[in-house]
Amino acid sequence: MDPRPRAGRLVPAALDLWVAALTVLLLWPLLTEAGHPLARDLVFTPHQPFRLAWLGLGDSPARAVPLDALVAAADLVVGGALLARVALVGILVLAGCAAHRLLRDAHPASRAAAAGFALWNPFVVERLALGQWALLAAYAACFVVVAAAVRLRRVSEQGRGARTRAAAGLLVGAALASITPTGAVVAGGLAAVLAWTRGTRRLAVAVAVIVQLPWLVPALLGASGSVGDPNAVEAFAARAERPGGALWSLLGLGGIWDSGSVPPSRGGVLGHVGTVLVVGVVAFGWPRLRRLLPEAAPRLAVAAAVGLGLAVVAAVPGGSAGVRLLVESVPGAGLLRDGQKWLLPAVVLAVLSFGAVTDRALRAARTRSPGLLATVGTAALLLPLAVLPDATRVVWPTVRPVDYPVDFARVADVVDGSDGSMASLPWAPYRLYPWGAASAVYDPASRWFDVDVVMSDRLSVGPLTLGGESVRSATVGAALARAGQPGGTPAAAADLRRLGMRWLLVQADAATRPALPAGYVERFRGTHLELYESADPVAPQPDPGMLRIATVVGTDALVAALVLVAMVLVTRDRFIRRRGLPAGMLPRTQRGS
Amino acid sequence: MLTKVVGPIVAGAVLAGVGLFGLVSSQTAPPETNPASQEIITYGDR
Repeated sequence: MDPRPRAGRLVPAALDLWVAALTVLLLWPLLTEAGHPLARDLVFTPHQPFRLAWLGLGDSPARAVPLDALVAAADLVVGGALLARVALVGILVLAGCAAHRLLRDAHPASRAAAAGFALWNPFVVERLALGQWALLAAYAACFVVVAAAVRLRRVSEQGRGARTRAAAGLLVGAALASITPTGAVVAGGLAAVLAWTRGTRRLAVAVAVIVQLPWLVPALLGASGSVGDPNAVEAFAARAERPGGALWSLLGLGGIWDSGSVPPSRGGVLGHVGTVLVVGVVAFGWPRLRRLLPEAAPRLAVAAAVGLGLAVVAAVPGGSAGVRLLVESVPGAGLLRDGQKWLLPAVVLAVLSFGAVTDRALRAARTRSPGLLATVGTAALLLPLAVLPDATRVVWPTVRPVDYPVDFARVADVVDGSDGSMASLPWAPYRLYPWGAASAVYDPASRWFDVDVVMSDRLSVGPLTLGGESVRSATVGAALARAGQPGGTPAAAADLRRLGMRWLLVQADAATRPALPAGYVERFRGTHLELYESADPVAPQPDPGMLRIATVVGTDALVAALVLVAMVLVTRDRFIRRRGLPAGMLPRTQRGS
Repeated sequence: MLTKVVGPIVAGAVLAGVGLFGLVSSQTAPPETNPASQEIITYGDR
């Protein structure tokens, strides 16, 4: 039996319901239509196969490590269609529910306002429109990290058991954020900054380091140590959505590099209103936020300021040159190129500040004019929707699921489990499908077929085509380009066989048809896909090496085991506190307290 | 009466109206042309 009074349980339940309602509204097409989401970077397939590259053992920078490995593992259990819905709904619900739980001592209406703003703000909407759900998972987990860091600091003077259990909560939150390197850096940084005290600094640093290991170890082992194209800094720098510059847009929690992910209202008066609103709530909410979260607010503000600085640096002339230098000379510094994503801690601060300023307004109303309480509460609840009324215009086309043509399954029947590699043609990383979304989508071939798929990694942003980072992809691309030249076909075919290219997949929906080298015979021809196989054997490709594989897999297994143990500790602790068990059943450290 | 009943109703109605207008107008935009005819497919545009 939950020992809390009934009202104490009803308020969080009602707030959770508000979060659920907004989540359903934002993800409506995904929840009401069948199929797999396939637009922009949001790519789900029925069963994503596992490959070593998902652990960072390919020759590209580990941008989606260990995300793709986790998706491949989850697909084994639930399949991609269900996983997409569970993941996206879970992320938004977690963000909203964790946000209002952080403001436990505030008025319920202000908690609801914060929960709504946690879901319905430009950062979430723009990243969702771009399909970057892993970054949003990091964002949602940041609220958990803040709560866990506060808990850890509150027990910093207690015994080792209490501190270990609190640190376990911090590790679970930070691990949830760390499904990509960006999430790991932000969550690890937040964990260390927020939880650092004399009694907890070792635990805080340990958590921050542990969550970096899954991407840092393969990167240090040289599996993916190439440098990036410095032109990517300008391509992915924060963008001014309206007059006022990139900083003005960032202060309104927008400023994503891609104009197609920005709701049209952000370019007009409502965009300016949004920026004024965010700056205003952070300023006027600060005194109340310091009372509601005294341990976290000042340090969160510092983290937010650092994040804002990183977000804007590539958009200013001097800063841009510095980031360019880093990207072209330091392996892995390409992580810095997408500026707006570093706004993450600032979004968390703005959300909590919105709850705090609403709480302040409600207190003032209660004192001076109690009749205004409902008006202020309602206005605060609906303000995020009113300032960003066209959020669904950019989100719905991305999350609307599609049905893959049967050609994909037919090709999978032929190639799955085979030796050799497959090149996906035409040679471009993004596709437009007449049967799919109206926007470009990352080629789903590598997540469909259980064979080593090599694709172009040269991104085109507007008129600019960026250099890729994978040496193998560049070599295969060059051989394929020679296949299209007069007299170059036989030599290109020999090169492709030397590079292990047993299969050539032609995506026939494209406007242009690639030239194919001689020596490849047709194995499948459908309306949307064609498959060709090399008539001669192809050369086997070197694997990453047993030592490297063992080191990376061992590190991942160790991190997974630590996170699992932490989850068990957190669950046990919550169970004991919820059920109010007798002292004899409490952990040794809690007895007699 | 004015602040307890009419105020919340008016505020709620105005905000819900703006939200619903945005929602409906955003979903009734003219359809895109067939994008597959593009030769160079961009990841995004600034």
